[in-house]
Amino acid sequence: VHSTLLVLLNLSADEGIVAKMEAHQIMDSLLQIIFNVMKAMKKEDLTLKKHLMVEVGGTKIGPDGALIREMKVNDGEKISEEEIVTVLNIENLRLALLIINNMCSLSKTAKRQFLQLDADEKTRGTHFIVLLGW
Amino acid sequence: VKFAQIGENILEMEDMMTELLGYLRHEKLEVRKQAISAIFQYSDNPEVLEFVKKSDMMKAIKACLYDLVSFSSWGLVPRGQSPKDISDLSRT
Repeated sequence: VHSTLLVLLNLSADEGIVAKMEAHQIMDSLLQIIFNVMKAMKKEDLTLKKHLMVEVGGTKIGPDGALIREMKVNDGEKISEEEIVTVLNIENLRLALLIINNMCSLSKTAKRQFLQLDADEKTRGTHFIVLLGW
Repeated sequence: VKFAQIGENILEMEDMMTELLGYLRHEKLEVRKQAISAIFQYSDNPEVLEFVKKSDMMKAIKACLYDLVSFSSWGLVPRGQSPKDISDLSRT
């Protein structure tokens, strides 16, 4: 799951590919992952501040004005066997949210889907409200 | 052997991605996992982005993601249980 999400994170920076992601309803799978992780996590899991991927060099601004955040595999932190499931779950949740963020910034359709705008432009926003509550 | 060839850049990018797309649809989950890891190494390459746009790769990635989420042992979904509809969780 983690590798697949990393692939999707790279791909989701391209507008044409985001359109393909929409066509294949990738957001449904991402929301599935997020809600499954939310369900699996306990309060004490959230206090574990360990990550598989870490940001390097701070946020930069690209030539087209886009914010660029460079990530690398965290090789400076040991993760125990008991911690690995929790760390992977949090990481998968984090990646799924980043991909949705990319999709929403490149596509109005993705934004509409995430915010669940119905036909008369009323926002139900269930996904967003559940995430906010969590 | 194929993955080793890919690592040594013997294959052209499009041929390589076509090969990987085949592995992404392999019946064994372990092979699909390795294929997706290999694709990640090239996923910011402009040629790969073009390949994804014109091929069925996104469909294969979606199928792969669905299987991995469904049968994952990482606590996402218990073994043998289908993923629940997210609306169940939205109501809680």
